[in-house]
Order: sequence, then structure tokens, then C-alpha cells
Amino acid sequence: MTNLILFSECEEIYMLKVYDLTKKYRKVIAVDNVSFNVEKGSVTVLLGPNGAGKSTIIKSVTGLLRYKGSILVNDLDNKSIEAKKCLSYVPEVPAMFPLLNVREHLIYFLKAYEKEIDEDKINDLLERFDLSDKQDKLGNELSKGMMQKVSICCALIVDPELIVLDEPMVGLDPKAIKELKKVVLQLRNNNKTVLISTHMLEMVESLWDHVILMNSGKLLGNYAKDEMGDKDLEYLYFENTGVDHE
Amino acid sequence: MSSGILYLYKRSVINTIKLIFRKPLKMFGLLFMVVYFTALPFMMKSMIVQFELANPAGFVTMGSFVLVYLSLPPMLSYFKRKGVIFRQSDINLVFTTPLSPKRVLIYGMFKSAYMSFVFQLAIFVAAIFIFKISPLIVFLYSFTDMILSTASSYSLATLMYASENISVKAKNMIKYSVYALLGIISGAILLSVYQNGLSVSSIQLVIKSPLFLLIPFIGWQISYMNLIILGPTMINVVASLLYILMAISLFYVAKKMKCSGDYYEDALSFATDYEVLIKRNNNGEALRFSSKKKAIHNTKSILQGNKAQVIFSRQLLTHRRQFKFFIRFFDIIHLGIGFLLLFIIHDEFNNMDPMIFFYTIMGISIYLSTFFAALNNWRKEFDNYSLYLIPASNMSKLFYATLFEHLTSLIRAIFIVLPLAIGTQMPIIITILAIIVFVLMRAMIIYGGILFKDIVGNAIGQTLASLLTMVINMILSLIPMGLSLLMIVFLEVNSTLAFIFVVFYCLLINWFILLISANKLGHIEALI
Repeated sequence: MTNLILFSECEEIYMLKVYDLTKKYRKVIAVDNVSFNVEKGSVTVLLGPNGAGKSTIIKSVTGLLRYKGSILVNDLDNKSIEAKKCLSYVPEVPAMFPLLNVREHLIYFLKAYEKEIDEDKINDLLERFDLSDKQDKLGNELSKGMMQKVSICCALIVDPELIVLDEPMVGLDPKAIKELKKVVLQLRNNNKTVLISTHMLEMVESLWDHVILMNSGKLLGNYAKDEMGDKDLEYLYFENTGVDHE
Repeated sequence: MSSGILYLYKRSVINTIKLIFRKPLKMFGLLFMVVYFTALPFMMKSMIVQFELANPAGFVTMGSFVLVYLSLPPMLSYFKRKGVIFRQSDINLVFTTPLSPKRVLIYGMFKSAYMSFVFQLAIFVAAIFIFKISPLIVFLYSFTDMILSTASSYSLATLMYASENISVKAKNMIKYSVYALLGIISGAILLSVYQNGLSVSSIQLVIKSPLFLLIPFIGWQISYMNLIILGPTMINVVASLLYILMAISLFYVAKKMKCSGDYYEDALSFATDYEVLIKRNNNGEALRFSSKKKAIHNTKSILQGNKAQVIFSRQLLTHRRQFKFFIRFFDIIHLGIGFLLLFIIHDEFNNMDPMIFFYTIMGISIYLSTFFAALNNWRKEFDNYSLYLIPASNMSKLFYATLFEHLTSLIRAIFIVLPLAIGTQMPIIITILAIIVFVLMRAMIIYGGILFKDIVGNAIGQTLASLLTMVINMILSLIPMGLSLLMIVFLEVNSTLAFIFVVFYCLLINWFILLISANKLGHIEALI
């Protein structure tokens, strides 16, 4: 009985649970039997070189791919509507609706997630990411960097329990990177969960609580910052992936 | 439907209208397209009258044809999880939001609904004004069939596209059954035409037969059209009831069907391919889905030439790496056209007038250049930043970027002209002039396209620009024909001299358009 209670309490600390995830593209195994959990209120970094399977995991978590195994978001099947209400996603390649302007993208997201339209919150986000003067621009008039900023704002506006970011720093200017880092830390302080996939070590060094290391579709290790002492991400990365540091 | 999707539709429509008002020429182009499609039946009126189809029965006959051959085949694409166009923005901003995958699919299908609206509008107008059907009946048919066909086809599409329970084997069986059905219908029509002669009544014998009207889905749908437009018969009443029942059942089954979004992965891969395709289309390349990777041939050639010449040299090298032989299949087809022409005029081998020979070649060049787009390799060059860094004039860059296309034209001109010239024993000077004019006419249409479609088109919208390009190219091509004819017939100028005049005219026009286009292509944003 005690064991059961302990198990149940233990289970509840995780926002995302990935069990035995395997994804094949025809004959190529992109992700090979990977299991991990992401704690609620933490910043977890999915780290690995190109082709490690990070984006495939992210796309599987967001329900875009077919896969073997099981993925639970807040203890709900990740493809269910209820699970998707808890989750928002910043894709690696941003793309906007060509006929919606920046502000309308945020309103669309609020409506899609059945949230109240909060003009102050919209204005605040646009301000933070330097988009106030671009809010009337249509999606097809934005540069890639701008699109990336709008994607981040869209993901943030719905105040998700879990935010999944796939290479979010690519294409952002230094101010936006700084702002994004600040936002990530604020999310953690508000007990929200952040999963970031990246290979830019220095960008996430100050953010991570946990790191999941991957290479060639396999899980190499899952580390908590508290247990690592003075070892930094760079050390963990090169130690585990076997990539030549020099 | 989700409030997010409704908002997306609403704002997209509002912003489209705003955009149209911001660019009035685009509005003109759009209006032209709507008017064009609505007026299309009127343009075909004489043909409809000639075949004695300008009556309600004729409407049903033509409508049946459209339903069998235009509506049925696209349905099959849903089995391959194609046919619904999702863009990358839909993947990023719709698929990952809390919307049911079925709603997402309906959103995808609705995106192209405006096309069927324009089509319905054209049918509505044609039914009243050409096929002389009472407006009330047309309205009754259009309104009720819109509900029934939307319910049945969208439900069927949802079942085929999003179903996670129908096996691949079952899908293939349905697909081949539909193909077989189309084959049987076509076979029956051909047999009827063979036995009773080529007439509309021969075709009507098949599409009005009880057996045809009782074919599930398509036959029932046509029966419903028969019932409303032509009045009740035992068969069409029964089949129409089955049609209504089918629409309700399909809607119910599609609504109850389990769908967790398995199709998202296929839609994602389709969207990625589609974005590439759109980019290539915008660059004027041929549209073709292909998953096969092209083999790269090893060549030892090196880049030759200086300044802008390297553009042409690189194109040649790329061509040699991509293709085993310099001459391509489409070039060989031109040789076929040459021999075909020879076969057509074989009775006049010995007395073919050089004038007819020359104008025939000019006509073929105009026709082929207008209806078969050039490779547009130049566009890829001008999309490349490095081109702007080459220390050469814009004119020479554009010339060398299009030189490969002129070389292709030359090969095709030789293939078309030579069989005819040898067969008719045409003088060498006329043969050479015909080859030169073929190449120059094609060049004129290529440069005209660059100026009016790619450069001016950015300001006035692609629809209007395409139309404008076609009209201007036609005028530019017909002027030398007309002038040289005038010279030969009225001024009694020697025909060879008149042909040389055509060559100089084409050279001048080409130089002029090249000059204007090159001036506009000074920076990479000219083509954005």
C-alpha cells in the first residue's frame, strides 16, 4: 500500500513521460527505444549532434509523427485534445499564415486554445520581443527571424503547462535570445515545464535543470544539474557523445 | 468548427480584400478570372448548340460527364493521403493546437472550397442561360445538391484520408474498383458510339440506362440530378433516395470514426514537398512530385570563360552532370514534329512555296513557345546572390543566363526544320533563315516573359501579368508576320529579303526587351 502511494506521488512529479519510443523512417531508425521523464517546473534540454533524433522526439511529443511506444503529457495521451491544451510548440522551421498579421496570430492561438483574449498580455509579449511596430505585418511579409519571434510569442500567449522548443535560438537576434532566456527562467519560476531541443551548448548553459543526451537515435544519458557538481554541459556533451572536442 | 479556425478564415478573407484594394490591378485580375470562368460556358455555347445539348437533357448529359470524369478521380488521391493541401504554416500552427484531427482535415479541404464555388457559379449561370432550365429548379438543385454532395464527399474524404482502421489492402481494393468502374463506363460509352455512331444520343444511351443510374455513389448522384432537372422516374426516385441515405450514413460514420491524427505525418511530408514545389513553381520550373533522387554523372569538364560567360559555362557543366546525353527526350519530340509535318504535306513535296514553309515554322515556334514554357534557368541564376557580384553588365548577365535556352531552341529548330527542308528541297538560305527565326521568336517570348511576367508581374499580380504577357507576346510575334506579308504581297519585295527583315525585326525587339529587362534586374529584390 505504502509502495503504491509512493509510486503514485512519484509519478505526479512528471509533466512528460516518454516510454520505449521508437521511430523508423522506412529502414532508418531515427529514435531507438528511448525512455525518459521530464519533471514539472523544470527546464530540460534535449542535447545531441545533428541527426541524433532530437527533432524526431520533439515532433513525436507534439503528436506530428507516428511512432511505437507511449508518450504522456500531464498523464494524458499526447495525441488527445486535453493533452494538447497543456502543450505548446515552437517549431524549428517557422512558418506563418500568409494572410494573418502578427497580432492576429496571437489572437488565433488564444481562440484555438479556448482562452480569453487578453490585449494587455498580447501587447506585453509583442513589446518584449520587439514586435510592437510589426504587429500589422502579414505573415508572408516577415523575415525568418521575425517569424521565429512570432512563433515563440504564439507558444507563450496560451500560458501552457509544457512548452516544447525545437532549436528556438536559431535565427534570433541577441536581444531576442536574451529575452527568450529570461522567459524560460520565468516559466520555470511559475512551475511551468520547458523542453528545449538544441545543439547550441552555450545558449542553454545558464538555463538547464536536466539534460537528456542523445546520439544516433539512442539515449546516452539523463542528468540533473544538481548532481553534476561543477561539470558543465560542454563537458557532459563531449564526454558522452564521443565527438572530438579539439 | 473551432473558433480559432473560424477566426483564421474570417481574418484571411478580410486581409485578402484589404490586399486587393491596396493593389487594384490584382483585383482586376481576380475579377477577370471570375468573369472568365463564369463566361466559359458562353464561349462554348456554339459547340453546345451544335451538339444539340442546349436543353435540360443536355445539361444532365454534360453534368454526368463532369461528375464521372472530373469528380471521381480526385477522390482516389485521398487514399494516398494527398489531395488535401496542407502548408508548413498549417503543420506548425494548426496541427499542434488542441483541435480534433477531423476538424483539421475539414479545415484543409475547405481551403480549396472557393474553387468549387466559382465552378458552381459557372454551372448556375450556364444552366439558366444556355441550357434553358427554370431558375427555381436550378436553385433547388444547386442548393440541395451542395448540401448532399458536400456531406457525402467530405465524409467520404474524411473516411479515406483519416481512417486508421481501413487497411492498405482494403484501400487498394476500393481504389482499383473505382478505376475498374471508370473503365467499364468508358468502355460502355465507346461500345455505344461504335454501334450507334458518334452522337450525343449514343452517349445518353449509356448514362441514362437504369444500370448506370443505380451504380452506388456516382450513379445515385447523377440520378438525383436527373430527378430534379428532368422529373421523376421510378429508377431516379429510388436512386435519389439511396443518394440521400448514403449522404446521411457517410456523415454519421465519418463523425463516429476514431481518428487520432495518424495522417499528420503524411501531411507533414506532403507539406514539405509542397513548399519545395511552390518555390520551384514561383521560379518558373516544371511542377512534378518526385521522390527519386537524380544520379549525378561524373564529368571532367572545367568552367570556361570570364565574367558573365561563366554563368553559361556553369549551366553547361550542371547539365552534363545531370544528364547522360546533351539532347533530351523533349528535343527528340521536336524531331518527331518535323517528320509529322513532312508526312502531312507529303503531297506537296515538290511545289511547296518558301513563304508557306517559312510562316509554318514561325507559327510552330510561336505555338510551342506560348504553350510550352522554357526551362527558366535564368531565374535560378538571378535568385543567386553571387550573380550580382560578377563584374559584368546586367545585359550580358541576362544574355548568358538565357544562352542555354537559346542553344536548346537551336537544337529544336534544327530538328523541326531540317526534315521538312530536306523533304521539300527548300533552298539553303530559306532553311537557315527559318532556323534563325525559330530561335529568335522563342527568345522574344522568353525575354517578353521575363519583362512582363517576372518583373512587371510583381507589381500587378501574376494572373494579370500572365494574361498581359500572352497578349503582348502574341502582338510582338504577329507584327513581323504581318509586315513581311505586306512587303511580299503589296510591295512585291523578294520573299528572302522579307524574311531577312523578320530576322532583323526579331533581333531588334530581343535587344530592346533584353535592355529594359536587364536594367530592371540590377538587384536581387527585382524578382521578389
